[in-house]
Amino acid sequence: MKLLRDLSIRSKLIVVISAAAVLAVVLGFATVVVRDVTTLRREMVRQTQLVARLTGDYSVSALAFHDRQAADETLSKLQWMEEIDGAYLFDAEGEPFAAYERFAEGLKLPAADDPALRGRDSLFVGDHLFITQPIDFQGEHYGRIVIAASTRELRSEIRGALTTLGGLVAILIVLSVGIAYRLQRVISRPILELAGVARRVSGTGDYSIRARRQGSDEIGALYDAWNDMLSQIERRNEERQRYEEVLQRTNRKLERYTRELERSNRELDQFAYVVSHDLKAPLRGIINVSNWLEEDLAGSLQGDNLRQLQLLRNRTERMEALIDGILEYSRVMRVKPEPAEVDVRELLEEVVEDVGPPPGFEVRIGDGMPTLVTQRVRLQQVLTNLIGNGVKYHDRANGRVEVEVRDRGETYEFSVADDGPGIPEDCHEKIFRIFQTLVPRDTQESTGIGLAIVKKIVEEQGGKITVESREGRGSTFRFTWPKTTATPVLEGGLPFRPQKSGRYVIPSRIH
Amino acid sequence: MVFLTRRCCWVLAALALALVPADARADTEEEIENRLKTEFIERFTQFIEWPGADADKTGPFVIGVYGRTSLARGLRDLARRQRIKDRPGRVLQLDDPQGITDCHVLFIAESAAADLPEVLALTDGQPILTIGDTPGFARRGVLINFARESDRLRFEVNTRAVERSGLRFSSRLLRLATLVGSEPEP
Repeated sequence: MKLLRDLSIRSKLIVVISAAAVLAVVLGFATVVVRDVTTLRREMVRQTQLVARLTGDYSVSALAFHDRQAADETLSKLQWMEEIDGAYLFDAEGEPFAAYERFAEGLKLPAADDPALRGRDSLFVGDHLFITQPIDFQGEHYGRIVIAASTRELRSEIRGALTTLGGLVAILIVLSVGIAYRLQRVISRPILELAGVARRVSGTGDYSIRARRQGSDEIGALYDAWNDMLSQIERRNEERQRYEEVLQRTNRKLERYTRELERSNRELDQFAYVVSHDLKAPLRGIINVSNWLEEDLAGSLQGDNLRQLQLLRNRTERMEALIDGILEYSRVMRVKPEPAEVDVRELLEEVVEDVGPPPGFEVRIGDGMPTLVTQRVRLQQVLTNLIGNGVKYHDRANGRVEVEVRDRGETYEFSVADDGPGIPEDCHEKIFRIFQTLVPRDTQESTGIGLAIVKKIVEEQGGKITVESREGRGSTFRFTWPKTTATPVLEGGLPFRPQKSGRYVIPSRIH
Repeated sequence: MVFLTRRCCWVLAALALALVPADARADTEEEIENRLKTEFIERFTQFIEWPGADADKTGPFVIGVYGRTSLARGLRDLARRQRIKDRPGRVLQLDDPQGITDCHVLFIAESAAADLPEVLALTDGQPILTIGDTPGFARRGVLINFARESDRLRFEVNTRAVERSGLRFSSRLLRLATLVGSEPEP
């Protein structure tokens, strides 16, 4: 059966049909041959029995009157019967009485009193059939006769029958293969045609080709199903094409929007830079003028005037700080410092010195601070801001700030924790937005830009910043920082453009 | 052991046989011939049909012996030993032609050769199987006549006489017989 599997359908059908036909023919002929052989043998036994009976009958008187000569004469008459090769008479006592054996070259008859013959009416031994017939007359037993008949003729008849049947079987096999070859086309042709259509469709990709159905049998149904499938594929292809067009349109629109967005972002950055830069010059003038005024009028100004002048100077200075903050914020996107090896502990010590915590205030740097290659200024900005906040917004002079680091695989997670007043939970989101500060402007020097810059820097590095705090229980800021400098790029292609492998990079520099 | 014992028996039997005087052991030639003739006569009856035999089945089958012959004893033994033609056999010793016609079979001894014409005159045309063992008897009208041919016992059949007797001889019997015709009465 395994052999059949890889044959073509045509060959399979031929094999199956002719195998069935040949099997039937062979079985039929085998039955006929077996039946014929059985019949021939039975007929031969019957004929030989007849000869034995007649010869026996003829020999009765010879036995009765002990006339061996007569018996020999009788038996010798059997020479006219070519198939009888031997005849043997035994008297009532079982003694041999007379015998006849045909003279023939190489003829070898088994002994007529062979024990195998005893009690058997008929027996095929070698090339001979032995028939034993009792000789009775008038109720008296006179002896028995054994006739040995040659099976030559039987054998040649069987051989002839086999030859004829073999020839017939051969002819029938050839015929059945021929007929099978013609008949198989009824089944195989539509299948082969369907296979051809399938090949054509898959070769050309033309799904509008249809198979032409021929009959209404299972193969016809297969054709219908096949055509139906082709129609479905065609319809789906059309639908997909339509969707693709819609998608492309949408994509183009998105591209346009993105470009516009980029441009407006750039313009905004540019605007912020230009505005702050341009605002700073006159402001510097105002500060200088107010300084001169203060110097010149030192000692002559009193009361409200002096307070108002100081207020003026305070406000202008705060405005300068604000403008610096905005400039710094816009710089995060515009300027990319080159990465360098940074010893974080060293950096922290520098930062603490810059921040200058009041005496009695403790800044603790945890163990295991790494050395990494990164943009030093950015990390410094973040740490300065967070530590500075911890010190600046602390409500006690003997406060404490702790800086820790933890290895998170790809990144380091830094935490800056203070035991200060804490931040109410509903403000945790707010603090990272620009110009948000939790203390009144007047009480503390605060621009509300610091954490916004921190968040922007951390996110630009591909990290995340979170805060954990409760009122009166201090605050902990955690941020992750890549172990190696990530390409400072916002990744992610637009989803619907598989054909083009373009990435939409939102430019982060202004040249 | 059974085998050995049997063999011992055979040896003893052979010894016993050797001790018996030779003339007592061997049958005389005449006895052998008589036994054969007796057997033949019985077998003749099997190959011959008597007319009207079907009607009379109960009566004895009568074998007459005409004249003196040593065969009579053998025939009597036969009749004692077995039924003849499915009837009880009876052997009659006849010294004159009286009672001849009651017989089914009539053996005419050589000693009665002189009476033959008289006897045959009585049996001629009658269903009586006349048997002789004297040369020339068949030609003279006896139905069957034994004839020795070297060491074989054969028999002659006078077909004309058979035809007249009304007895039906089987062809099987006739096949073995030497057929003779009647010689004209002198």
